[in-house]
Amino acid sequence: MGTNIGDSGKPQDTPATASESDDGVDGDNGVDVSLIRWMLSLTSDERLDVLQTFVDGVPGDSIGRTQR
Amino acid sequence: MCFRLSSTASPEIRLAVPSASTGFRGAIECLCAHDVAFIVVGGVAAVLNGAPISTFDLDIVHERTPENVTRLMVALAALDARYRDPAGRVLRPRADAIAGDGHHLLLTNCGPLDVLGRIGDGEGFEALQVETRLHRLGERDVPVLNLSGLIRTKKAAGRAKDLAVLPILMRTLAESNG
Repeated sequence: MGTNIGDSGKPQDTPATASESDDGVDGDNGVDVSLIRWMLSLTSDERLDVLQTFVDGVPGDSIGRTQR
Repeated sequence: MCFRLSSTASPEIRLAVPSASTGFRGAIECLCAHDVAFIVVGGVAAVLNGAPISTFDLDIVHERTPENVTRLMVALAALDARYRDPAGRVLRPRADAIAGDGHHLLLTNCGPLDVLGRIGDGEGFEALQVETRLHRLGERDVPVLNLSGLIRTKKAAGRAKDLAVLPILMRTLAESNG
């Protein structure tokens, strides 16, 4: 844990606020506000699917999922 | 609905209920199918609350009553749970250990599952319930620690991996309140 999920699907119509840079990233700490807003626009089911898709894209051996 | 607010029900040994789903959803469905009282915490809870972070394991805090531990043990058997052992040994969780307040880092047929007796500043199931909200996942309402609870427990834990996500959690909380 600890990294941003990839930005595929990031909304294109969410304007950055005055405290953000043009790309929607909060200048103080690097948080991608547009990505947060996109996640908040999803249902819980959809958010879990986003995470599962990310996890499924990582080979199982690299995180021990295939340990027997 | 799989959220149990009390542990008054008598212990009930059930047949293992296999889940048609896999991954996080499969593990959650299995726990719910076995009527386990638990709260989703950690990275999956953060994502369900709208925080764009990644995680590979499902973290839960379970009610540690004898009845619920019995139900959880049946669910863990259905999930083929064993400890994540670097040496590759197959070590199964025991009920007396699951009834304690330690952390059990398991591997299941639905992926890594961390069964946690207490988190943060030593808070268990009962203490965390006040900061828990139900999230609709498929046909089930699943109890999930809210963003305020996640932020507070991660600050209390104080580990680097917990502190690293605090800016994202705090901004997500601000955005969700705004």
